[in-house]
Amino acid sequence: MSFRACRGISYIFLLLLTSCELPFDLKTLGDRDMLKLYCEVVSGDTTVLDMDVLVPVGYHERTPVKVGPEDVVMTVDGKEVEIRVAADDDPNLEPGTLYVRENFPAGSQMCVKASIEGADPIEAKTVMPLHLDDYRLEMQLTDIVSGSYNGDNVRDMVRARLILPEVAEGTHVGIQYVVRHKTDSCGVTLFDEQVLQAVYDVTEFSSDGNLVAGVDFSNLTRLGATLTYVWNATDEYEFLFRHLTDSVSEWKDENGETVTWSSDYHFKFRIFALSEEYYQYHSRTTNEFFELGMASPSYTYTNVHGGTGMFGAISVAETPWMDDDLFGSDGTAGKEEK
Amino acid sequence: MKRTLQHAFTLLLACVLALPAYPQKAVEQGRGVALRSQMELIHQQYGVNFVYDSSLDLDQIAGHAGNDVLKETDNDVIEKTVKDVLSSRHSRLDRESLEACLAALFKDTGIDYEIMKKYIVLTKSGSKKKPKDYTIFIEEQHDTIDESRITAFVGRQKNATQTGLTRLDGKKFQRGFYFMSSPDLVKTLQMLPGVSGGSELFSGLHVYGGDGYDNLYLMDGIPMYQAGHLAGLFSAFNTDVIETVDFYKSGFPARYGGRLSSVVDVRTKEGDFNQYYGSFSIGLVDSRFQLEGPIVKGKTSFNFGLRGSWLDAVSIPTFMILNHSKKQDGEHYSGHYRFWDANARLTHRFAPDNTLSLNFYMGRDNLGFGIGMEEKDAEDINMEDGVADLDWGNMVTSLNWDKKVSEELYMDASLFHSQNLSSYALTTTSEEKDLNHEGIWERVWQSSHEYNVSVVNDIGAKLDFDWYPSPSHHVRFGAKLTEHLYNPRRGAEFEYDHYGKTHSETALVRKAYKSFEPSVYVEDEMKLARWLEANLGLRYVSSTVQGKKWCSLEPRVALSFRVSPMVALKASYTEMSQFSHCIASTYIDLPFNMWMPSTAGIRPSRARQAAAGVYLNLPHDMHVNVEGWYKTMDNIYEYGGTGASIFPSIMEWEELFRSGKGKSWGASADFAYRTEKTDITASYTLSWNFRRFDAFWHEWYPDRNDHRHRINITASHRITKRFDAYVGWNWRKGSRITVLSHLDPETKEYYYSSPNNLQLDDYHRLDVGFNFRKTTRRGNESIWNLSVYNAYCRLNPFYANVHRLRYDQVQNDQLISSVDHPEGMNIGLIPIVPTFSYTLKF
Repeated sequence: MSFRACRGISYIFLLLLTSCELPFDLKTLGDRDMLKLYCEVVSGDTTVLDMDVLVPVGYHERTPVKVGPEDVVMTVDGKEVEIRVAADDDPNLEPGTLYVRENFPAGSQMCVKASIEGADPIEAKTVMPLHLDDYRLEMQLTDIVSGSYNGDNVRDMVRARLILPEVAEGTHVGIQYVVRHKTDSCGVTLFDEQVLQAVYDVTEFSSDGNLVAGVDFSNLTRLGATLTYVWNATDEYEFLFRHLTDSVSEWKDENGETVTWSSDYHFKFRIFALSEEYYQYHSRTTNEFFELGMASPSYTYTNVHGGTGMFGAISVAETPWMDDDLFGSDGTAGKEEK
Repeated sequence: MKRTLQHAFTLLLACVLALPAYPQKAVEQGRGVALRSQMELIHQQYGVNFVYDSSLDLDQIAGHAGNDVLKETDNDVIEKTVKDVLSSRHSRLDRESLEACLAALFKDTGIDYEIMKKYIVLTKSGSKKKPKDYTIFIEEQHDTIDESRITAFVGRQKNATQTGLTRLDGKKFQRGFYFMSSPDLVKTLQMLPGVSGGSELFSGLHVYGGDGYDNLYLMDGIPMYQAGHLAGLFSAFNTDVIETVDFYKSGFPARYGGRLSSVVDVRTKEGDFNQYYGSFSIGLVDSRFQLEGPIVKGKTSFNFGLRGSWLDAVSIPTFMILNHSKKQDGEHYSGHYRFWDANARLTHRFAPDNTLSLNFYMGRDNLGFGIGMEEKDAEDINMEDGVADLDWGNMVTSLNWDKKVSEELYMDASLFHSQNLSSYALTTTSEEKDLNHEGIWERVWQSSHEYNVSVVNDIGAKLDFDWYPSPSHHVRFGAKLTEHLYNPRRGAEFEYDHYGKTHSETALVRKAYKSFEPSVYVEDEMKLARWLEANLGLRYVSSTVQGKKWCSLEPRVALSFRVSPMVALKASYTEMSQFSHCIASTYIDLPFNMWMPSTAGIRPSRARQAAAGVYLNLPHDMHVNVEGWYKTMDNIYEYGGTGASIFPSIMEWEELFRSGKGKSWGASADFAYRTEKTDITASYTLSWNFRRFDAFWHEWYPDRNDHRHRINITASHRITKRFDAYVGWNWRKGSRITVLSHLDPETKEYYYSSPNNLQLDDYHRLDVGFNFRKTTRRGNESIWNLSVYNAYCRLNPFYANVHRLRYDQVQNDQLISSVDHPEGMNIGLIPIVPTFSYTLKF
């Protein structure tokens, strides 16, 4: 068969597989506005009620009304709490932001209701999870080598055991690994802290101790973009983290010369207990198949009935900053941290 | 015809009990019944055809002694025998009772008969013409016979107790819908009322609100996990080897279990014990070959079918052209897709009632694609290569022993093995070479090989009995023992060489399960009265995985109330459980999916279904069925952990597998008119289908296959002896999809209001097909088929989305304003698809 004939057949084949786009009227998706509520209730802190009015895409030129404190009611254990509005001179909040300043003990039943004209009324509920102040953390250096692709930048892996007192079964617990440089390469003290993607489930490592690398293989359950490892609580939980020691990094620059950089770090852990709604909302994921209608609609989760968004609660406990010389000669960190 | 339809409609409205023409005539008249009408009855009840010379006198009265015998073998006995025929796979029972009927019928009539496969050839006693002198190709063609032939398969559904049962024979596919010039079992089933096909072209089977992974596909009684090639574009069943298909949408007998929504019981043909037959077909995308015949005449036979694609013949030159055009850019591409499947069956008859058969099926798909890039200059070379290879399919092997234990008891024993495999491998290599200032090439090279494999092996044995303790009871009972071995694993190997420093890593994640699943059942198909039949059954099944045991007791009840021989009212109630679950990150049947068992954290799925209907068998080969159903499903699952990876997580699948509920109800009405030359069916379905997954939404929401209205119309007609045509039109309300529905004017972010909040535009499609038949010089039959899928080229929406368009107003390089202007788009993918094929039967 000649090359020209092959080409002809191939073009016909490709032609048969062309697609076509046809517009549809967005007004078929409805004409009602929708209330969005996003609220993370944190114990012992200011709780911001981020409330917006969304317009339907078929009426995108519409100007929505604003939600005022008179439109919203929040109750805790059946009692109404005061909803405040941030003033222009509030240093921490944008003017007009709705917020609540209350202490929410573990087990508090919280409810928010709101309604405005032109949108369905909303209602959302959550429960303040257990506070995790009484944790215990034990750490031990392992002999697992975590390689990387840049020269000899080897990190220690530390096996940690988090012991939580009397956590209810099914409670979602999260942990963040936070680092802060002590000094930079010029010896300047830095204070910026960052959350690192360096926490792993012990099963993520293969039997020979190698890290199961690559994003397709990572079993790290992310909580949105916060890089928090989340699991269903047990009394004791083991995890691994990549300990950034005072290490020396070497690599070759474009001129082929060796560059050396050393760094030292503080690190700490934040330990969270998450309400079910918080966990469900932030563990939503989406991909291209969902946008093709070919995957489960997990991204539509909301606990805001009549609207969208999330009304959830978290309790947070933090370890103090720890130095990299925490580990003794036997590789264990013998302190109990609270 | 019009008048007949009016009569039929009146009958339906008034619910008048009409007396049937044929059976009661035989009872009333007893004597004086013409041969021809008795032959019609035998044809209707047994599904056999008569071939005869027009010189035979078929209007004579059935033999004198024959009358007495026929009186004895009146409707009750014939119906009992018929019931055995229709509900049993014991073909020897057909033959024995058929021979008895024929012997009685033609006694002293001067007509000899001989049963040849599915034909009964009649000749004048003492005639020189022998049955083998009649040149017979297939039922639809009769070059040498003047008399019209009676084609098979009328009224068989009416005789079953169950609701929701459709019986198809292999010939139905040859006359019906062809996809890519290849008959397709699953796509034929998609045309039935109450069944939705899911995404266009893919062989999804969503029955009465099911999710597509809850259909029990059986190949000669052995379950198969996957029923399609190329994500379901082609079904895994080669229609050339199919004998019969029993498709249950409701009223599942107790002998079936393991899935929630439907049973597709495919039986393959035994090879002919006396002669060799075969066929060869070549189409635009695939080819088929089938051969059957005796190994030892009358004792041992074989039937072999092979099917394979040759899409490579198109893809290879396509990529050659593409690479030629991309050569200067340093890019190259590769790709191939092929599938094949093979069926083999060996049957040995120790005795007419003692048969051993070995069945084998294997199907495989292989898809590969690769991309490479190379950039070169005097001081720099960069190369990257990536190749992906996907391999998936099924294998089913069974050894069956059918034996008549006694006059009332028949046994069927089987050993089986069923395997489902899906694997994916991706190899990437990159190399960078730089010329340093000393003139030495320095190299950075790395390679990764990642793979994902999921294998399920089922090994087991089953024992089934058919017991006829009395004419009004047909008891089935049996036991099955299955060991399921689930073995998914994912691994990676990395190597790199950076300026002479090398490193390698390997990793493997695996999670194997072994589940032990015994089951027992008993069912009794009983005739409680002349007008009342029942099939009462009970099934018990348990599954033990990692020390956790799940049990299920499943009642199955079906009642049939025969208002008259033409009218039957049926009702059924069934409970079904499913212990194997498909973990799929998408709704398409991709080779990244894996099957896992119910565990301590994953409860078995369960469905409860009630159905009832009216079934009318009208004169002039028409039937009308109206059936309704209500179904609830608990512990159904969707994989909620999509994310960046298309692979379901092996270690965390239980946490990411979201549990929910489903409910579905509706009614369907279907009409059929079948004659020797013409086959017309029309159906309308009204249905509701909802889901509730608390992990996705806090209320019930419409399922993606919630098509409120569906209409299917098909017609096939033999225009001449050599030319027949098929046309099919189907229409339904569009599928549901989740799209962005609201906009925050301040942040410009878009949001979803609820799951499946948009119904796509209505779906409708016309398919036409033509068969041109010819007799070759050697007396074989050749068929040219021309099929057109989607004849008027409607680009039905495959999916839709909301484009987030923004118009910026810029003046003097300064942004003045930014306006959001979202746009909704339906995307249609499948245009008109004409195909053709050539088939030779020998």
